[in-house]
Amino acid sequence: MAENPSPPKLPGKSQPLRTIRATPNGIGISSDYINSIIDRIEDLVLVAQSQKPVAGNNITVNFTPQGAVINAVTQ
Amino acid sequence: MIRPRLSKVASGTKLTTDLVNGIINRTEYAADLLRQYKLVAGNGMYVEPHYDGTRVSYLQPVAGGATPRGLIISGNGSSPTPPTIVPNNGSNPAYPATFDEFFAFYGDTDTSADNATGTPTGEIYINLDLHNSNFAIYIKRNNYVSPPGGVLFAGGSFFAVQFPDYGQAAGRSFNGSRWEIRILNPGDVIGIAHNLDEAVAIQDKFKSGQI
Repeated sequence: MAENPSPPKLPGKSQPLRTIRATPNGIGISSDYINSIIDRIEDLVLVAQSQKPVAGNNITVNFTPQGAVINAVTQ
Repeated sequence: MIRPRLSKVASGTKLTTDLVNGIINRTEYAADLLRQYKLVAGNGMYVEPHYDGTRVSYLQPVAGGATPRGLIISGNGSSPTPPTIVPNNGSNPAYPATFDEFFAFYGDTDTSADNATGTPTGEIYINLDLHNSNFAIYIKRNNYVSPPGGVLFAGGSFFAVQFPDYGQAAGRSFNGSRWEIRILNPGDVIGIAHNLDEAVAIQDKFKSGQI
């Protein structure tokens, strides 16, 4: 069965985040690690902000709390 | 609520609750946007999620697939009562509940009692006139279209099509007739014809499976 290819990478330079393991004495978190999280979040925000649906001809989009509702414009 | 952009941290910065909450709030802001943008199709539309974006399309099924293309009524003429198509007004739930100008059907009729064993010689065409919401039904038998102007029905109103065809004299025997009517599902479109030639072309494609 055909499958869709993997989604494209997020725009920007961020890389997928890796989880950290706990140790008995705790762990130190570097500023680089925190910044990698921040970079990843900012790239996600860019994607979210850029994906607002834009209606084409004869289509309207109504934004609701449940999601964007698409309607055909009838004449 | 828009949350401010996160600032990079310098080495030695304390991991404070403010920093963590800033990360959480910015993440939730992005998540809220994505929730809003989730697409829900309205009436007569559908949404195709694709890996590279979301596509919106009208409901316009194409040939093939597992979904039946339409209601098919067929018989060999032995039925004592010709089929009646009752659209739009919901008076007969056995047939499509809605019926608009976006439909077409075709049929083969051989209604002559004198030609009980003959092959179907009649064809039915429909002329869709979207400008005034009227449509006409043409019946072609042996290369003769009857009636010449078609049978005009007001769009959306109740009407009934009876087989054997329109030109059949009332009370004439149906024995030996063959007929088949295919009614596409409401909303299905196989083409729009404004004259008989266009209707024939569309029907030929439909019957050959090209549409």
